Amino acid sequence: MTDRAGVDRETWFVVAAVAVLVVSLAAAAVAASDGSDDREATVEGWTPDVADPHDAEPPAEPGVATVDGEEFDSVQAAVDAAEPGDTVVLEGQFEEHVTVETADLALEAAGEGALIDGGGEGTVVHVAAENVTLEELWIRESGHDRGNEDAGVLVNGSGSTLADVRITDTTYGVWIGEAEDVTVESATIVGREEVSQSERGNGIHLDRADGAELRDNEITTVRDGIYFSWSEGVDATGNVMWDLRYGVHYMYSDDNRLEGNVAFDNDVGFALMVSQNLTIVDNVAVNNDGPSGQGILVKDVDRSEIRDNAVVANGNGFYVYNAHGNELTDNLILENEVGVQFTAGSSDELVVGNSFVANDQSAYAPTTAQITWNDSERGNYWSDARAIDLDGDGTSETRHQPAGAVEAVVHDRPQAAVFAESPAFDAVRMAESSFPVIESPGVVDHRPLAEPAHDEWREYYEDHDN
Amino acid sequence: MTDRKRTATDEQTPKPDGGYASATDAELSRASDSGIWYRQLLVVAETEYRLAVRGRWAVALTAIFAAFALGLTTFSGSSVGPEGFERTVASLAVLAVYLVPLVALAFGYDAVVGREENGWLHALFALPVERAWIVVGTALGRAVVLASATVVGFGIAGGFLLWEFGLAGFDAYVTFLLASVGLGLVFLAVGVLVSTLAREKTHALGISLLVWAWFVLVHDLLGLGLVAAFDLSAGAVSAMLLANPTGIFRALVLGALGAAGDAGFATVLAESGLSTGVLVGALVAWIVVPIALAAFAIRRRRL
Repeated sequence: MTDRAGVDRETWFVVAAVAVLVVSLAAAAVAASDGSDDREATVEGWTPDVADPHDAEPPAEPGVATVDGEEFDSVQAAVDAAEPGDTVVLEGQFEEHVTVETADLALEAAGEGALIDGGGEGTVVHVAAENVTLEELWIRESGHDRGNEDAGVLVNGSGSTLADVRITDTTYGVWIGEAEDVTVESATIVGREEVSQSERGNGIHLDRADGAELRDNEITTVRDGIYFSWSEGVDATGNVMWDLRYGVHYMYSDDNRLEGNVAFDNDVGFALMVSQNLTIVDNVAVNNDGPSGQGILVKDVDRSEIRDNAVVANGNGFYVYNAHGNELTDNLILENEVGVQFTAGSSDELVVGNSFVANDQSAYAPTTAQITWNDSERGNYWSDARAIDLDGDGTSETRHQPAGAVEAVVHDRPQAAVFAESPAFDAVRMAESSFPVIESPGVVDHRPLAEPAHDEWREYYEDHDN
Repeated sequence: MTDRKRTATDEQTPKPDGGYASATDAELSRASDSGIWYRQLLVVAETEYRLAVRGRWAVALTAIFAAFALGLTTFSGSSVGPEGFERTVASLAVLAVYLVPLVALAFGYDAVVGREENGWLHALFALPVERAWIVVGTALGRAVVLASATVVGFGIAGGFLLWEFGLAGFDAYVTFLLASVGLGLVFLAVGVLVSTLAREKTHALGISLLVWAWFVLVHDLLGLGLVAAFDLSAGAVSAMLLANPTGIFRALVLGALGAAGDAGFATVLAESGLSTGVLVGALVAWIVVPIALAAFAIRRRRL
């Protein structure tokens, strides 16, 4: 009798454990078979709202061009007949190549819309005169020759405007060559998907096109979305670029402004190269994870301001290569494989007010010296830092070394990652961060922020349906 | 016969115990009469289990694990970063590496040497039961207590997590739970081995702390240094990982989480040929081998 009672008195513990275990396993089995990836709180699959660029019906009727009440069945004939200041109204489908040599002319679509088809040869529309306006036209099928600069629209006339145009199946979308103050707005440019990326031309190609304005364009499946060469004073705002090699590509182009653009699913979001005095603000680079895989590439770029951008889920958030005297401030750097990579002797950068959140590795700099990014009162926010703010001024009293000895070891010898998150790993990292006695080479932030300056990063986790 | 048993009972439990000891002893002798080794084993294990539950060890262990896990989960709710199971489990796994081995060693270090000092072991050895089975039974009994405490303790926290995050992703937590049980059992086994080898209880305690410091702190630091200094082959790195049960635990839990834990962790695991099967096998070996060694060493022990 006592024996039985004794068994009863102590078995509750193991019974409770078995019950908890069974419930847990059952719950886990349900959770696993659920197959839902809600726990994958990543920005993977985040895409901004873009309309389907292929969603358009070409007009079926043969084209009619009207100028001054006179009707033509060819755009070229109508344009040739027009006087400066006239408006040529187009409706229906044309199969021809057009050269506009009359200044101050406007070409507009009416009714069901107008389509100019180049039949796969040469440049479709060549604007050779100044102040020409193209509105709501659909231009397609340029030639396939990159070397010949086959484009949907070639603009050589200063002050010309392209508004609400749709350019599809072209090598280059718009080529602006040696013309000033050209405006391209609300254009949709879709390249040839079936052509390999290296054979494609650029969406908007600027060649000595000073003072151009590029606003609210949508560009996809070309080589580079917007390509700058030898162009200054260009304003590019509100453009959206995806499925490209580079979203925006600067070469030898100084004093330009890039604001509020979005580049996603490219190899590189914004590639800034061999230029100076650029202003890069409020841009978003997401999921740029091609072979290079960089959100914003800063290569041989000097004295530029890179502020308030969001680089999310790229290979490298920022890749800074041989760049000097730039300001990287107030950017959000979220969930990249490497947040910021500094290399090839980049120097004199000011890196302040950025939020480094949930990157696999916040920063990496192969260097034998200790780099301080911020001499100022404020540093950056690091989600993996142990920020200790005793006096409540918003900055931590202990320094943070995001790229120190262990990161360097893991970078050089990936095998060391098996010791990642081990107490040993943490001990070395904490020692580097907390005790200035240990001076190991790498990046150090003397005034890490206690709170992130960016709250909008949560938005990237909201929508997973796309 | 009855007399001897009575004395033994008095020695090992000075406080009134409801007469269970004499009952088990009766069972013990019955078992030895029938001569079936596993019955002897089970009786020793059952006794050990009941002693631990009555001695409040079970409740204390459960409370430690529950408090630790709950503290961390409520804490992680306020931290910056994408909430969810993965993050919480990653944090738990990182910190459990410190706590679980320490608790398991504390629970295991006196299993033999402590019993010897209070005389209980003399009594057991006087019985016609193979010594090895007494050690294995002791380990088994304590293992059941520790495993149950881990499951219940972390299970309570798991319940709160379910309440907070919902069902999706709970499998990651259960992986962590089971791996923690494994990790605890490894260090319990090591503790029992230390206890079998040590001359005195204080020696066992000291050695246990050294064992903890080695596996939790020194081993990986050394490994990190070796990897940094030499270009080791993938096999050497794998061997180094398997040589440390805390490393196996981390690989199991963080590997299951994928890349969420750290850069390239899962990739490195895959490259070094450490599948879940290999890791689990290594963990089981880490449990079985120390106990087997202890069972062997007990024969040479002089009382």
